[in-house]
Amino acid sequence: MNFDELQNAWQSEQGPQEELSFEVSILKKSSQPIDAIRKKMKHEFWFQLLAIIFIGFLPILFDIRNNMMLLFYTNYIIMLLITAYYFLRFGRLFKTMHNYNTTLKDGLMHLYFEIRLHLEMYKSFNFILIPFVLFTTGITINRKDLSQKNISVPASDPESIIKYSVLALIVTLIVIVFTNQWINSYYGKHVKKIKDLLDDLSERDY
Amino acid sequence: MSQNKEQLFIELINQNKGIIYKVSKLYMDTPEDREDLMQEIKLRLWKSFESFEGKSAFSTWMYRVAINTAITFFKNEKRQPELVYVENKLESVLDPGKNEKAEEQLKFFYKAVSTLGPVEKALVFYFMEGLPHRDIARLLGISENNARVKLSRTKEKLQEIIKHSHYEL
Repeated sequence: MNFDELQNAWQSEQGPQEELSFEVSILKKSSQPIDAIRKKMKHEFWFQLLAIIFIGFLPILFDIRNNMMLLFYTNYIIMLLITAYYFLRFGRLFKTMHNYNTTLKDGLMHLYFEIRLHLEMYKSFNFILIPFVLFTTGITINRKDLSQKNISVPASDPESIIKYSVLALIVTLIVIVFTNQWINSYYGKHVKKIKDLLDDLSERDY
Repeated sequence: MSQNKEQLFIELINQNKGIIYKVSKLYMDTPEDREDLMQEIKLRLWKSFESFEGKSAFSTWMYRVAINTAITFFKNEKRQPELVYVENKLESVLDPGKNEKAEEQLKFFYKAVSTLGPVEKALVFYFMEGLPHRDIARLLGISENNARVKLSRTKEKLQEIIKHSHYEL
């Protein structure tokens, strides 16, 4: 194979005669991984927002009595504040644009860590809500017992403590496993591809 | 972006439009995907132009943005390219004055390159553009020695691919 001949042929390629068009309206669709992840996450946030609003109406829907309302809404407000914090953080991340004007390795490194940061934040957001969701679920399920006994906390006998601890542990593990699986299968392919590209650029193999 | 700067951008891009066509042709196998990649590159060039300070040549800046965009353009990822001749509209980019053998060689070369990985394609692109190892290394962000070794291996790999397809360039 004569690379010199090929180079000459290659360099004589000039592109079509017509000028390139630059209508901004058609330059809006992107297939870049960071954009794809942001788009997917934005869709998920809408569902999460709806779920959080729905939780706010649980006392009305399930007739949670007055003595539990204070506990429920204290828990709910903390959950809202945490959600608002994460949504603000994600909003800031979404606004930062990936820089394509760097060396390939720097650009890929930046992209890799940017995506990892998105995903780790997304995971921590899901994990941090677990105790609040458990607590809300506990109040909703046990609303009748709690109301009858006129107490504001679940039963504190050893049997109940063990029962609720095991249940909380199982639910927590399920959420952790599900979240990790979901993120890996839905978003992980992008991270893996970028990692593979970085490996291809590494200097370890000579 | 001001009107003057926008006009300057369009002029500069059109002077170097071959870069966009060649990168798209190198990284995508179908006319539709190439068109999409060209749009994506144009979008990234447009958005990155504000940060172009003129410290390097415009073509060097374009190489960087175009390759950085193409390498993370994860489209039709599961489809494996095949080493076959496929007619497509981008063939019209060939200079009509070139002889048929050179056209055929280049067409086969593109098909052979389509079986390489994204980083190998970047190496081949810069080599074919006639960039020295030092510049290739600078654009990729790796050492000059690493660029030399990787390019040499990629060229060997290309020769193997072509040899196994029983075509002599």
